[in-house]
Amino acid sequence: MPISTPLGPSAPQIDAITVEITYTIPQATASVNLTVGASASGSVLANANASAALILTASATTGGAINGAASANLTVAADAIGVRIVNASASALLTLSASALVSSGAAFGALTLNASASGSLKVAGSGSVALTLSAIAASSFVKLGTAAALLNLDASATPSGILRGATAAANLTASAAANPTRYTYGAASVPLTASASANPNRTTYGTASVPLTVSSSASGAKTSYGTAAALLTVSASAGSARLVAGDGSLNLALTAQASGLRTAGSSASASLTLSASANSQVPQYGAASVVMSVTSAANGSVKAAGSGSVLLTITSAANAKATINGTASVALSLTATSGSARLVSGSGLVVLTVSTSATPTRYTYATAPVNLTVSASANPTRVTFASATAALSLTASATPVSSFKPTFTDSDGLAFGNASEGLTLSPFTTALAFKDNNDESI
Amino acid sequence: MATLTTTFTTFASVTRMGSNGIGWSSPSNAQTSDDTRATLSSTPDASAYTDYLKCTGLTDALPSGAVVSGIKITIERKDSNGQSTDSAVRLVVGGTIQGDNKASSTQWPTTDTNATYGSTTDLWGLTPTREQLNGSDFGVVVSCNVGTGGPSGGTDTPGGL
Repeated sequence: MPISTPLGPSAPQIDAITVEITYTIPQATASVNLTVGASASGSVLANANASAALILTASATTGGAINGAASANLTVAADAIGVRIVNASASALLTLSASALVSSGAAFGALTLNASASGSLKVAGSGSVALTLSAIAASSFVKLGTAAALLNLDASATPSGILRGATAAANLTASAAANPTRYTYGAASVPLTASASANPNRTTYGTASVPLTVSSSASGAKTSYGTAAALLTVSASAGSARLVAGDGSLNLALTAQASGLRTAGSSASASLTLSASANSQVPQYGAASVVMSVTSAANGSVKAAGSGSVLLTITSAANAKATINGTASVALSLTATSGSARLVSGSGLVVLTVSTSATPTRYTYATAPVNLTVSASANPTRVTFASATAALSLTASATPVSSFKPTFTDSDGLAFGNASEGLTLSPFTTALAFKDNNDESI
Repeated sequence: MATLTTTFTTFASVTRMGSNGIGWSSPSNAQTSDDTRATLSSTPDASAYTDYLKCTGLTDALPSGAVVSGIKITIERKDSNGQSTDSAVRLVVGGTIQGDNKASSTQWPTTDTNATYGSTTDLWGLTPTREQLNGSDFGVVVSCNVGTGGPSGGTDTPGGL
């Protein structure tokens, strides 16, 4: 007969209690604001939709793709060592930015940004080898890119405008077409060509260390300006208004013709020649370290301004209003004639002579650290003011002056030249010469 | 679908009506599996069920936007005399004991063994939110049936909730 072994009372013991909670996070959608962020050592894929604002950010060490759509605002940013693709669409405002590094060494790979928007669009990118930006927008868009080797920008928009900007170490080509407004600009260390055509408004500008050519033509308004270390050529023509500006360390030539409004501005370390003619308004301004000549003639308004370290001659003639501003470290001569109103101002380190005559209104003012002579005559109204650190002489007469002969004096007040057309100057060194309106020595 | 596996921060012996004063000693020993255990505070002299061993406050929090789809409790327990069974295993939500009682009639083994209650799709008859589960008053209570022992080694199961 078996013998049962008595058992002791219950002795329950609990060593551990853990909990496991299973949960889900709904798909990243929002009616107001949505933010999606992701990072991974492999690839990143983020997709989202929002009716108001959407922000997508992602970073990956190999590859990544970001896609998003928003009805109001959309911002997509991505960083990847491998390949990155950024695609987005927005009905209002879209901003795309991306940078990619394919290899771990010194070479970058390729970056492609594609975007389309029914409102405004902005696409920006950078790459050391190849960068391609393309965009299509219903209203307007901005494209910005930087590439060490090759950069291509292609854009089109209807109906308002295109704005393109780019920099490249080797070659840069920027082209744009739009109706009615287009902007094209760029910068390159070797060659840069920026061209644009549009109806009726167009803006073209660029900078280059070697050669730079900026050209534009339009039936409406046109703006062309550029900067070059060696050679700069800016040319423009328009049926109504035009703006031409540039800087050149060696040679700079600016020419402009317009039947409406024209502005020409430039600076040059060697020689600078500005010439303009217009039927209505012609503003001109420039700066030169050696020789600068600014001449203008117009049936409407004339504005001519310039500065030169050696010789500066500014002359203008207009039927309506004339404004002349100039600065010279050696000699400065300002002359102006106008059928209605005139403003003449100037400053000179050594000798400054300002003389004006106009009917009915004239403003004359000048500053000179040594000698300053300001003379003016007008009928019926004349304002003449000037300042000088050493000597100042102001003379004015209300009787119209039929002819004007400026007198040039040195720091001792001795006269050394005069001219009937205000174009003869002789500074204090033998390296300088007198020149007439045609920049010919006399 | 994601899973958060964690434990609790607060352990206490809480009186259960009808427990005949059999509480838990060193309840915080049930926080980690280290063979240091929560035990009864006295030897049962009659068949009864114990007070609750109450665990609350998740050690880790659920992330923002989480929608809870399942709760699974794992209890590592034993009875060297094989005399105990579950009496109550229930959730504590908002400080209130509620939901399904997942107690099993299986005798507690004589060596440490994990027993699971609920699943990845079991919400214990409740609809707890992320905020409720992240609260300091979310947890679980455990109570077991105990007996005085005897020749047959049987265990009374007084039951009760």
